Amino acid sequence: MTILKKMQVLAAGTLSCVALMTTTLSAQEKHQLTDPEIASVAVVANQIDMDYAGIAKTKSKDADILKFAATMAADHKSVIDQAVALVTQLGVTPKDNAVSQKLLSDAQKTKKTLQAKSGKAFNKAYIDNEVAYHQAVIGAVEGLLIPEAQNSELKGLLQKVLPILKAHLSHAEMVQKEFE
Amino acid sequence: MKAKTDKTVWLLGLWMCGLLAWPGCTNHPAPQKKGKVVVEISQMTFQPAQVSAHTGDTIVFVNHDMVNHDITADPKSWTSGPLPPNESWTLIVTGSTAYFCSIHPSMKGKILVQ
Repeated sequence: MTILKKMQVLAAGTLSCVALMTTTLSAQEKHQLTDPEIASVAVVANQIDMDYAGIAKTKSKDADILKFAATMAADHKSVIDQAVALVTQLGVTPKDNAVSQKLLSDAQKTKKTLQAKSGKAFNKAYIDNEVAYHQAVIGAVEGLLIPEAQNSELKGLLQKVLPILKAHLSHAEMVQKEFE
Repeated sequence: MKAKTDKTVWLLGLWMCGLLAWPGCTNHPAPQKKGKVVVEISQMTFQPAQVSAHTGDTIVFVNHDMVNHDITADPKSWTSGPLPPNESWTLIVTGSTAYFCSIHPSMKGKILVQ
C-alpha cells in the first residue's frame, strides 16, 4: 500500500471516528447518559489519548511530537486522577456504556494504523489524529457530557476539563503546521 | 518665666520632630514601597494576561488549574520550571517582557514596566 493510500485510510478512519461519535451523541440525545456512564466516558476518553501518547513516545524521534505527547500523557493523567477522586468521593462507580465502548473500538483501529507507520508518516498521522480526536472530544464534552451531567460537582469537573482540551487542540494545530 | 521657657523648648522639640518626619527633609529619601501583583492561572489562561509593574515589584503566579504549568520568558531567558496545581511562583520584575507556558504554548502573558 502506498503512503498516500495509507494516509487516506487513516484520514478515513479519523473521520469515521468523529462521525460515529456524532452519531452516538445523536442517539444519546434520546437516551440520557447517567452520571456513572458520563464518568466512564470521561475516563475512557482521557485514557485513549494517554495510549496514543505512549505510542508516540516509542515511535517518534521528533522533539515537538515527543513534547506534545508528554504533555498529553501528563495532563490526561491529571484529569483521570481528578475524575477518580471525585467519583470516589461521590460514591459513584463508572459504568460501561455504548459511548465508551464505541470510543474504545475506534481507538483500537487508530492504534493499529499508527503502529503500522514510522518516521515522518507516523508524526503526521499522530498529530493529525490528535487534532481530529480533540475536536471530537470537545464536541462530546460540550454537547453531551456537560449538558447531561446531573451532579453539580461532576458537571463542574467537566467544565474545568474543557479549557484543557481546547488548549491541547491549539497546541496540536501548532505542531500540525510543521508537518503540512 | 521658667514655665514659659519650658513650653518654648517643648514646642521647638515638637517642631523638630515634625521637620524630620517630613518627606525630603532628611538626607536619606524614603525607600519606595515595592508592589505586589497576583496573576491567577485558571482555565488555561493567565489572569490578567497583561500586568503593569515597576522594577523590583513582585509578581506571584498561582496555579489554580488541575495540570502543571510553567512561566517562561519569550524569548526563553528564564523559566519558573514546572508549577504544579495549587502552588505559586514569585517573579521579581527586572523589565518588560512577554511570557508563555512552554507546556501549553497557547497560554501567553505580558509584563509592562512603567
